[in-house]
Amino acid sequence: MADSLSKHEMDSLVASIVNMLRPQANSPASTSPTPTDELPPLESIRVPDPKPEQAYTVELLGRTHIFIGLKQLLGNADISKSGERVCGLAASDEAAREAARTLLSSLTLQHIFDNPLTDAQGRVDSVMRVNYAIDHTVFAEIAPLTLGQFKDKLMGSTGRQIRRMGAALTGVMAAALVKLLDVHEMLFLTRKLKTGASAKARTFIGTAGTLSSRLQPNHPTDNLDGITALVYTGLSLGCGDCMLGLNPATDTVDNISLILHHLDKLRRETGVPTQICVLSHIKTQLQCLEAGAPVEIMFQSLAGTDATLIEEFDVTVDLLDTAYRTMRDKGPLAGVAENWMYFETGQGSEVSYDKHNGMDMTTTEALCYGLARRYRPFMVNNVTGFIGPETHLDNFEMIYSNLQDHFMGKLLGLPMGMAPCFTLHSQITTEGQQMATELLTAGGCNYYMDVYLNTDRMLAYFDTSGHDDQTMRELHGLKPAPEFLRWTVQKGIFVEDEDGDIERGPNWGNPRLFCSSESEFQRLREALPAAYGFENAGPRPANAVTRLVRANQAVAREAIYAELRPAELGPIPLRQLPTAAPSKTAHLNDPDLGSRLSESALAGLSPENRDVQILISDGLSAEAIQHNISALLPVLMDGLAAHKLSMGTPILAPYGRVKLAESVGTTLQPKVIINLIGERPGGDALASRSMSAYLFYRLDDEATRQEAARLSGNPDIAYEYTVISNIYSGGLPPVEAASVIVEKVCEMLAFRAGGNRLEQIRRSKN
Amino acid sequence: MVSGSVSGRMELGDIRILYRSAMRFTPFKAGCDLLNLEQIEIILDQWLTESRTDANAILAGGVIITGLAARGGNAPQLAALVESRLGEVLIAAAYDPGLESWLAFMGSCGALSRSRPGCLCLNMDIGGGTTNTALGLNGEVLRTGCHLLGARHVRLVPQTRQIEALTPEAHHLFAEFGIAKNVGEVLREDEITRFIAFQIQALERLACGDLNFFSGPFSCLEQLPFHFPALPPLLATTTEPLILFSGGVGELVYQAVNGVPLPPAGAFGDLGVDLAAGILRSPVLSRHLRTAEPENGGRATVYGLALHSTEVSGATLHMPRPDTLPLRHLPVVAGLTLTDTPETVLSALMLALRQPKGACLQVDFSALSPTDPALPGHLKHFGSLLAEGLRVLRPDPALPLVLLLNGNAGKTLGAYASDWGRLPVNLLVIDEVRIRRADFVNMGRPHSGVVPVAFYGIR
Repeated sequence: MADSLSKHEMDSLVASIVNMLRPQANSPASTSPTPTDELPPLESIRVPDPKPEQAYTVELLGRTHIFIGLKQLLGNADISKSGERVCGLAASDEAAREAARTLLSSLTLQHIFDNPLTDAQGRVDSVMRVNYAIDHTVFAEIAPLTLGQFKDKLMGSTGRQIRRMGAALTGVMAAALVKLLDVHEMLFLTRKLKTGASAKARTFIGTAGTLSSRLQPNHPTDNLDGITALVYTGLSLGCGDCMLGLNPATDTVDNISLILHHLDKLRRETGVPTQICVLSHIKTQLQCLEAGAPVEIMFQSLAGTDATLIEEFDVTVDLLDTAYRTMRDKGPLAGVAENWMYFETGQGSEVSYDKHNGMDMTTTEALCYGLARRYRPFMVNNVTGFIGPETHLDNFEMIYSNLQDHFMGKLLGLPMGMAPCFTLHSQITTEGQQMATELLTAGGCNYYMDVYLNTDRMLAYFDTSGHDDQTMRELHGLKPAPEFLRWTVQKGIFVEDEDGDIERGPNWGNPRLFCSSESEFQRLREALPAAYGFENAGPRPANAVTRLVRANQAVAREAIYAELRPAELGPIPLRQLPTAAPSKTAHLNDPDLGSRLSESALAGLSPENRDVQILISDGLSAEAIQHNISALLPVLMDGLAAHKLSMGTPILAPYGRVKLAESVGTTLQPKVIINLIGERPGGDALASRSMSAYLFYRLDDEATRQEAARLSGNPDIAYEYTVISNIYSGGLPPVEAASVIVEKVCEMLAFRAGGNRLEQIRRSKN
Repeated sequence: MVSGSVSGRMELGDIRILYRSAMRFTPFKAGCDLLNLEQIEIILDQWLTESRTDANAILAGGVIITGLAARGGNAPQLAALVESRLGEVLIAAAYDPGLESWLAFMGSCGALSRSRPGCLCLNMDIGGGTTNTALGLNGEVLRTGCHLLGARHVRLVPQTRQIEALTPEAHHLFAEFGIAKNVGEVLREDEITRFIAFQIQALERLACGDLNFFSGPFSCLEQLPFHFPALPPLLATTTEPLILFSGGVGELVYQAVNGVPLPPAGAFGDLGVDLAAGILRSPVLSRHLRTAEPENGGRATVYGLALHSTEVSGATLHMPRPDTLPLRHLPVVAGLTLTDTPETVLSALMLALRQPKGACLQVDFSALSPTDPALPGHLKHFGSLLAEGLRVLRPDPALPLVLLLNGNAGKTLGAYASDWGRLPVNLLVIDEVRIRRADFVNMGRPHSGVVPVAFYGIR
């Protein structure tokens, strides 16, 4: 029969057979209690009534350990992480941790089920409620098991059996379980969950033997040529089979639509089988979709408490439901994609907003997964490590948390990818990130990011690169998604031998492949900040390229750990005042300390009632202050004096944060506080010297304050602020920034306003 | 306009063709070399209607009148007509061969030149009447030239060798080479060969920067002399320029290189195909044809005009009276640096303030880095000198005085120079604009906080 078929017919037949044989993509039928697409109404999800906290007590080797409430028990059972240390949830020592683990091991799943964790008002919030949408039939089978017994049962189960039981777990149960697992156990179980954690849009992601990637062409100004250069580079590295997914610099409907249309054009022109996404707020994406933009996959960041999700992320479960249904009915991939939602999470966002409801970071992260599961997403990944040392201090904390997250996500049935990452103000290093990537690949991670040479200049952090993705594929014998792989072979990016083995092809790592001329590539390259090079050595960047990347990273990190050198800041007298942060380490690890002057400093100050108070602080880059202040301050003071504004002696406050301006303002009571502060360094040496000017208008009369409160929705508002950022030689030079600040301060004083209200008044005047 | 690549400053970019008119022959009045302005106005209106363009909505752009049209006795009136019809269009130049060469270079090989740092690029834009030559390095044009060499000095009846028209230069060259043919007669192949051989030789000499070739009997072909500038010794001894072609003839050359056979001789009713074939045969001119290919072929000048004729200023400007803009045909009267003496600064101010409709001074910041600790001091000193000069000279408060800076310090320099806004002067300080050797500058209305700037009268 085969002899009589054309090649096209044969290909179609093979594709049909493959289709029939493959596991169903992330289907609710296999794991979820709801066999249809319908989302169960929140009120239909049964959650036990909350109960008073109970004391959990155990005696371990002669020492009695008492934990008040399940939240404290869960926090103590985890490894010690910076976030938990700051909010008092970390175990005091290893013995306490093991005591908590021993206690957890003895609790039944039913006990966890019966004691839902509550918010600050003692209520079950909507995120927790969604987590209780589990397979009750399966839960009934395992509910009597203690967590210790359940762990042992999982270790002896097949992947299919584990997946089945995972559908019966809430996020809290998954979090409790992961605290009992060591590294080998986490990897062993996660690896078993590789099969079945797949999802399908245009491409089919997460099948056995594959490692996929999201090409992340972020650009600090959303420059379309720069984005194109990054897309071409990533595609040439064999990346992007999950999606071309960009985090925008500017979240407006016009801008997001523009980028979506541009990514769509690139997708069509290159013919790459993948999907596109711009990771803006879900409300913006819905408006873009309504306006006809190609929102192929709907993105949203999730949080594990309502307090964070609603108040900080401006998202509700109802809104997520609406987005899901809108995409199902009107999305460009409706009828093609089986999954169309994309969620990003990450341990610590709830803690960093201080809206974690007393729960530890692992538990709130697991609750995110319980929420994500409701929407059968195409992709879920976390970015644990992104926030900074206030949640994850070092390599160990970041690596371990990533392994926990990967396991919990897969256990709850999600197509988990990972983004082991770091910022320069933590102690996490490239080496630690690479170790995390190796371990996660061993655990069967679905996908990673592809960030050009690991350096995201837009988000000022470091993530996996296309070179890392290829290295993992070669080390672990993995391939991209099948549809994408066929395209890469056509393009000469990969070559496939008769045995089906894949190797890098002649065009691997050559973005010029997609350019019509040398001139076109040059123009694209010129739009890239820190374009360190495109030369490769095997699956890695060429040594010269790596040296440039790492040298820039080193200089940027140096900026964070450098101390201020007051003697080098020029001849203008400064009064030096300490913040509550006693050291650089304390400053980096606890943002609250740098947000107020020390008690001793406050004791020596009284209201001065000037027009303007200048405040200088290192923030996250002392080098930014060292490189800009001596050029900026003389012009700034000339300008303020020329406008006959009274000024207090400028303050220099080492280890300060942005909100320190409020502490200064409340004490000295100027009308405007100018906080000149070092920004979080990004990826290169020059940008690590970037400073911001935060101009705080103090709402000192009640009528103005009421007006500000009305506009902001914050009844307690005391300050409005305007930011002038990117002050450095490669952006807004300090000497020019000074007169921009003068102009803005004069406007604030004239209109008695700052921030959005000031802009509104200005617009109305024009 | 788009947000810039790194700093976020606004730039012109993402150029798309929204409308392309049909090609029209330039209408001349019967029996003379005057352009038919009435006819041209009708054509302009037709193009505006077809393209649905609101002339007042044009932010920037240009019209350049080239070749034989530029030689029409009333070409300046055509430029004025275009300005009046197209509102804020920034460049309307009737004859500016240096600008043409510069634009052709930027449209043809600006990006290529930047992609090959340290490599000299020589672009020869060969059209109907002129060859516009430009030598550049790292994307910047170093020298320009213009010569009356091209395909249409001898116009033929299409597909034949019968002469339809001859330019004065063709008459001159025919006489030099003993070609005794006139309109209506048929050229022999050996006559064409001689004529083309001369053009090829002239192009080869241009490629070598040989000034002497165009002295003597061929001086009438030289519109703007071209020679290689003095280069740093390393470049002068080790680098030969990469020779590139644009214009209609250039496009034919690269088509042939890419495997498209040349059309039959005389296909376009001129000697363009013969000239292209001559370039392909010339060892000097053809040596880089396969190693580098420029962009935009015959439309290089148009692309150069669209993309490069206009610069966009920085976003932090000293512009207390933005309604002063647009400003057109402002003379660029002097160039200054931050460390100039008070006498130099005062002289430049006096010169500027003598111009009846205002003037422009260029201020070169390139000697100081943005973080140089000495910069605030220099800036304050220089600004104070300007303020003092303005205080003494007491210009008409309405007279526009524009400072164009190549650094990013417009607002601060303007603050010091106007004594923080207290002097009664109409001072505009526009920054982040490259220093140009030009006689005039046009500035459009502010758009999203930035100002489009275009120079002409390029030297």
